Amino acid sequence: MLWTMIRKEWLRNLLEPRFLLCAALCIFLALVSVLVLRADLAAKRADYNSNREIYRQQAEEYGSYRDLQRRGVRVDRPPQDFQVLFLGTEKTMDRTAEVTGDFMPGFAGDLNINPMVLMFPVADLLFIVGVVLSLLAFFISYDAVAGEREEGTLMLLLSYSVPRDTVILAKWIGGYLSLALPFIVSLLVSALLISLSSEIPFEGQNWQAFIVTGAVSLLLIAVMFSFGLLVSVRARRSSSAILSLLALWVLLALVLPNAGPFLAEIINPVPDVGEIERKIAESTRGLNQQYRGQWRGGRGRMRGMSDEQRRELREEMQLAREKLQTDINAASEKIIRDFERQLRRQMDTARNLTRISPVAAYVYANTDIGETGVRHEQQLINGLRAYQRQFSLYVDEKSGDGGGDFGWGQAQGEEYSIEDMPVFSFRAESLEGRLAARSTDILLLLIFAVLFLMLAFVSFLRTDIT
Amino acid sequence: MLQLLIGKEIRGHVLSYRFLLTLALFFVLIVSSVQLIALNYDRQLVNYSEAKRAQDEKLKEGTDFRRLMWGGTKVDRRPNALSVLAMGLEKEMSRSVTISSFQQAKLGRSKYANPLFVLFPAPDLLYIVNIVASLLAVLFAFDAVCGESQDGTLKLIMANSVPRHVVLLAKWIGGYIALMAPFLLSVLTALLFAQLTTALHFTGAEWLALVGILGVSALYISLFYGLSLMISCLVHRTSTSLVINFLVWVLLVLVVPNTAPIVARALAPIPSAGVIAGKREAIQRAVWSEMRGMRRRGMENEERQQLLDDAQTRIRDETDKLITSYLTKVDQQIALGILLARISPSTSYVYATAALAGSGLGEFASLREYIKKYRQDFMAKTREITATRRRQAESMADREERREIMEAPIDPGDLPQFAPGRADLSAVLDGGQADLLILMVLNVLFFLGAYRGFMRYDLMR
Repeated sequence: MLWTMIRKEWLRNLLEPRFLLCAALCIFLALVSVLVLRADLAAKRADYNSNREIYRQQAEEYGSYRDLQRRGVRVDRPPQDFQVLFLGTEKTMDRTAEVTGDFMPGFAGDLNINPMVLMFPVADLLFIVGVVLSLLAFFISYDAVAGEREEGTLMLLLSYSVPRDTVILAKWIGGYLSLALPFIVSLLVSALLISLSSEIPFEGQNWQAFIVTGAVSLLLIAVMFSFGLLVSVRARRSSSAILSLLALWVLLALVLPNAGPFLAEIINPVPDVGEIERKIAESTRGLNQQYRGQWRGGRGRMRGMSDEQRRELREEMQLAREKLQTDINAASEKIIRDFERQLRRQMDTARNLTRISPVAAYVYANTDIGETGVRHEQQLINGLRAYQRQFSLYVDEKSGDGGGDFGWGQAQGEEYSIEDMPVFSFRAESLEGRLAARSTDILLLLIFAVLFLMLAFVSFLRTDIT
Repeated sequence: MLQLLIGKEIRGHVLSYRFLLTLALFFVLIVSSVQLIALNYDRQLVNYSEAKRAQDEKLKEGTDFRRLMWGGTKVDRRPNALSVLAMGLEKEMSRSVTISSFQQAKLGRSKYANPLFVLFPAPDLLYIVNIVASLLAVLFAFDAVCGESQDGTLKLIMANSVPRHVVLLAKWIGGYIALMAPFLLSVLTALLFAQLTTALHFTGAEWLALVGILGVSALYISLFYGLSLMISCLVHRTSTSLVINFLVWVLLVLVVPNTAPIVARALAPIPSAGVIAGKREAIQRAVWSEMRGMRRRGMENEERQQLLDDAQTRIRDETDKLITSYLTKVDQQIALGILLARISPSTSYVYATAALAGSGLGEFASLREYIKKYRQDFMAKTREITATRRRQAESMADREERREIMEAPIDPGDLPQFAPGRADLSAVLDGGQADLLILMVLNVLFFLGAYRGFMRYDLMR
């Protein structure tokens, strides 16, 4: 019986223009978005590779380790393969970091950019599923029960010996399939496009992540469809069902996720970046003055000394300078870390606030699994800092060999070669780790799906069919 | 007659569930969005004045121009009050910029910013009108004609001696008023509330721009209303009308504007910022190494200075050439993107509104130019002051006095003030002509389409 009913629902949907619309839109959008973002990724990749060469050449031409330490090497953000599906934070224009001897690096933007991309959300798979498909889910489900009730076919159907639970289950499965199948087809199309491209080296773990994100997307569609079905059961007329659902869609998919960061800024404010930078400058100045007070007139003191004593004094000063640098770094690092802790708390607030919206939970889950999300951003910064430490150790070691004189330019007898300079390489987190980090969101989606389905189910058992 | 019909239409709308929903949605969304972003603006304003104060203090303490030129000074752009309504590129533009001789100035989000802001677009008025209001306009009109025809009431009206065009006009006007009234009411409430509770304050020019923004919004909403009315005049079933309307809306509002910029980026590639930075440094290196190759020994001081100046001019000229050719490419890419995206009126709306609010592409470009100019001015001024001081110091015999003159504290008032101006309204309107024109032409076209469809509408089907 259930099977016959599902078939009936499915066939009925299949013959409707809106199914065609949904399927066509879904596949067309996925095709366009993957094609476009693939080209974008290829361009970014080409830039990344050529820039890496250029930056290295620049570093080679400095000619001394002191210059290297002072002017640093540039490092670009490695492009993420998953951006073809979920652009996420890869949208940012701030792509280049300067790693020098003495400061916490971060990615910054150039003055001459095309900021157009920033003015609109990008139509990636995240947007297609979170915004367009969730709208289509409402669009397909709004009259599933209310419409049949209005036309009287529901009464007809229930006059046969069909249990109500079978009817609602069949409606759910039939309707969900007519949404999920076009989506699965578009996923397959995307997978084909990705595997055909030589520029995107998707390997084992990436494909696993691809499957997981696909499953999460299907889960979101299930949540939205169940929700639509629930409203359809409870609404008296299908026209009021679609209106209520549209209002809910606006709130859940368009407004709530976007308002999150703003709300969190009010609830959990963090100090302004300028204030942090001023604090750092202040502490640096304090330490600098302390150092200067200690060594004022060092050169004058040398005058009456023997060579031996002079060398000792010089060494002592060098040590103090190094200590000063370490102290400054440590103090700045502490301030920044404090700030970042606050910022993380703010982000957590934003996430917790917006998670009521399944679309927001979906975005968090899939961007983090695809490594184009907030988590990746933090890890990238941590990776960059780790690289900065490596770099500064390397430079210290190298310049330490060439006699510790002050001043710019090439130290005497220094051989400058950066063959063995460490290279920035970002290691991706394992899929398990990413999944574990986003388990709350996935669980939440699962709960939403089951909850709405159960509510629709129970409501239908008690609904008035006339 | 027309008035009577309009009254009927308005009553019909006002008593419907969708009017209630529209009112609630507009009210809640617009008031909370403006309030939310105004609170954010409040904080920005405090931060801005704090940063400015700290910067002035730092400058007053500073005594060394060389260090100032080398290490640079930080300048901040005053937060834009109208960005509360249309965020646009405000977050990219409001970052403090370091001006120094050593480094190129950079724009963009701060490296410590909350990355969640990148993940989701800001829910400002622009966004609400662009997506929610256009959707509501579609909902208001999708069954205006075909719905009445399906219910049979259209036949009833037409049985009286009313000309068809009057009926259509009444439908257009009545529905549009019913749609715009809650919208304007919500915007006014939101602005009033935000002005009372936050530091949000508009100047005269900003009020004018605000009127402009509301005008463009009204144009944009009426466009979707007309489009939907037209579709409803061309089909006979409400369900068909709903499907077609949705499809068109999704394509126009959600798909085209969001794909076009990336398509443009792929179609008209530009060299990356890194490549340009590399080329710049290559120019500098080439010139300096050539300099180094020359024999300087035995030269007069003046000759040497001349050589140095020549080198600097050459570097500047070549860099300028490089940057200009690069910027032309960037502009070409932007133009292509705009061209592609203008298939959708949503893009025209966003550009026009962001430009009026001073947070659009044009403003970004002029800020970029301003920063470059400011940097040159700043460097020139510091050089000039150093030169004057040096001249003064030369006449002094005492070494201490000379040092005193050279290291006298810097007066922040002597340095050029960083105050990027806003383009005035006429310039903005001039630049946004194409967008406004597109919106108007489409409005007329859709209404004419509806007119044609309704004139030939088969009442008997």
